[in-house]
Amino acid sequence: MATETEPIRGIGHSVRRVEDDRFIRGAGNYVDDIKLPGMLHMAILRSPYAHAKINGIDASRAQALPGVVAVVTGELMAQHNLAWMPTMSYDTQAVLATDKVRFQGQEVAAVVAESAYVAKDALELIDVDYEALEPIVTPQRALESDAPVIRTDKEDKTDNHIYDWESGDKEATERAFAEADKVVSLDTFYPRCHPSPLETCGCVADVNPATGQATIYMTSQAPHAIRTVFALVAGLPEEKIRIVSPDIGGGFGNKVPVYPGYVVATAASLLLGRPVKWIEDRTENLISTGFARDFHMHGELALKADGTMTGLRVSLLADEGAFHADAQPSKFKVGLFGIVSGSYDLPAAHVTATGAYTNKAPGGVAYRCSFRVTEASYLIERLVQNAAYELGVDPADLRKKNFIPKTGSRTSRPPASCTTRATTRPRWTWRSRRSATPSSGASRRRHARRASCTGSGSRRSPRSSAPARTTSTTSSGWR
Amino acid sequence: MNDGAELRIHPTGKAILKISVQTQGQGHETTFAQIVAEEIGIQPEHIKVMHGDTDNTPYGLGTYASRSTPVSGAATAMVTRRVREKATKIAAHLLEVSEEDIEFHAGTFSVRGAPDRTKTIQDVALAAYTNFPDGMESGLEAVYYYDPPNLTFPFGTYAVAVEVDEETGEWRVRRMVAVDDCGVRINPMVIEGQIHGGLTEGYGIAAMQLITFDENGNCIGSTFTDYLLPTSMETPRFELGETVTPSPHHPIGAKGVGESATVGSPAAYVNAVIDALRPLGVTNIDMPLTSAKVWEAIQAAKANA
Repeated sequence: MATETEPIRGIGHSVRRVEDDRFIRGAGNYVDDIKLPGMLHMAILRSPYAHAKINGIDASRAQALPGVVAVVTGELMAQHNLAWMPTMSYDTQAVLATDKVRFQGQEVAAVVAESAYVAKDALELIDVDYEALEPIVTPQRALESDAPVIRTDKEDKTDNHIYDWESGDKEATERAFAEADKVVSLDTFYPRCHPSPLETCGCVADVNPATGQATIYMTSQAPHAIRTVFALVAGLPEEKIRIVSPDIGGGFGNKVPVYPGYVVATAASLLLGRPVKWIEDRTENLISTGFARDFHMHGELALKADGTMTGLRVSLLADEGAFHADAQPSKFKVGLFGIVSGSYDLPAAHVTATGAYTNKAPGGVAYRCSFRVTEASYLIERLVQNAAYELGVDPADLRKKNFIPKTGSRTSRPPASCTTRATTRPRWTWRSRRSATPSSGASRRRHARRASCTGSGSRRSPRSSAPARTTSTTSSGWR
Repeated sequence: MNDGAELRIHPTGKAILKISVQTQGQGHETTFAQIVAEEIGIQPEHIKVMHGDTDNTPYGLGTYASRSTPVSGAATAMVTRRVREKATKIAAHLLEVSEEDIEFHAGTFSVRGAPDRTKTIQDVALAAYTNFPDGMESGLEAVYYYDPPNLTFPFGTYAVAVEVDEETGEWRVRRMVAVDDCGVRINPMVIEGQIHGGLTEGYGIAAMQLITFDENGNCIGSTFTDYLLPTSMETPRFELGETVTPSPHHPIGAKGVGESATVGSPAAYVNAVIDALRPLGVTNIDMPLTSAKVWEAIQAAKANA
């Protein structure tokens, strides 16, 4: 028992992490450390093409390899109504491809074998008849009228457009720009990146045929939410599903979604009555799991001659990949819009965003970022920096001049309600990039010292009295 | 967007806390025990934190969007206060005074005006199973589901000084200062780790990380040969500072900190490089700022000059 004089090491104490003892000793218990009696191993065959029609899959040679227990294809999954699954944005995502592959690295088939090595070897024995289609690698191309349609699985889908979203006060913002002494604009691209946690994704699915109990050890940041999703998708009673997330080696948002591997491993365990382990390798993690960013951004700042900010106008084009698995766009209101308009005392702001399908991996929620706040923070701070240069003032002074004053600040801003409706097509401006040939020059080091501020939503909200409007749509009337 | 927490105090005054969020390295087993310790006066090493098993923990939405401390941390504080309410009743029973006359501080219940008459949380825990008031249910545990009234809003400022080699496009961070405000700080060492990790990732994004595709849709960046992570060799040294502005609605005034540095720092690196190159006429370079891209921007600006 603690002595009465010993201070309680509560809040404010740098208590040593109790977790570190087992981690430093190499005694952690990660998903790949779990070994169950009779456990099988699964490996996934992935598409080498970004966009191709599947004419047929012949798994007979793989089936014949000693040690192979089963080959799972999209056709088999479809028989159990599991060839597709829902995403967080009310879209669907292929679990195993049946009709087409839509990004390089997409899951096509899975081998379940007595060892992980046999499973991997057998992948090479699966013959897939692909018919290559034109790949779309930019959202700009995706939205052109002659672009091939990626989501032919969706009834009546005739383009690659996913959503239009807007928030803020358009009229007040237009007025601010009409009356501005100075307008500064910036086109920038926040490229696709990946959090690449030290531990890749994986699971051990253990469906007990005697009890009907499904225990799934999974690299998940949200085990409860996953259990509910599994119950709804697989039609299993929730009390029969147990999700266990043991030690997790980094997530950063990469381990929020349900990935096809989890679903296939669980289905395989259900069908075979034995535990099935699936652990992806590094390349699989990088090419197929939740990416981050991939936002093309255009920002404009309206200013008075003295540097007072009077309006912000932003248009965004999001490359969502082949399946819309990002956070639902209506949440951009509390993330993207709140941050891009949240640090400076802007009387008016208006933001539009469009999402497009491309032949790339789905994702968008990952890398330590809620609802696109990272893109928002980056855009506004780059824009303010360039505005200072154009006005010929110190960037720090311009920031200080425009911060929300302490007096009259609001400490909370409940998210505005969202409505869903079709919107008109936003205007895009693209800047072409040019490269130059090398030329010699005197070596000189340039020094810079510049600040950037993260969003500080606690201090302000747009001054406009009208409530901000949020719209989002999974438009079919794009053209 | 609620998350649950369950707290049970065992007869010897040790505890188990079950939470709905999932640590991936953030140190929940340490910091959540500290929240309980603060609220009820049991040392954190005697509070076992359980998570990551849907059969054995309360429902909740999990760990992402910097939400563990804002939501589950709040649930943890509130469930501990709920347990403390019952503990106060038991302490009043043991000390034979009315509940209103009990004062609580750091694990000790004392009688108002008679500070030498005390019972510890350990005394109370044993009594909760062996000597509880008539009409009271035995045991010392509770569950609390917390639905946050608002988001928490951490903020901060990042300042970067760089030098750029005009001839090669290489750039180097000379100083990186990060000042973050995540409200009340539960474990300063763990927060420092969160900020360091976020700043390292922010630097990686600004300097080298890129998943791109060729015209056939082949992924460039499918291995660590092409997709670069900053090692200790590249990562700048960080200087940290903090301000403390408590969240006005969170039970302990804490705010999320997991994402702050990753969100805010990339712009600071890019702004610094652009600031260095501005005299040449460079106004923008898209991330990642590889030496090749910086060099190309310098050449293009010179050609335009």
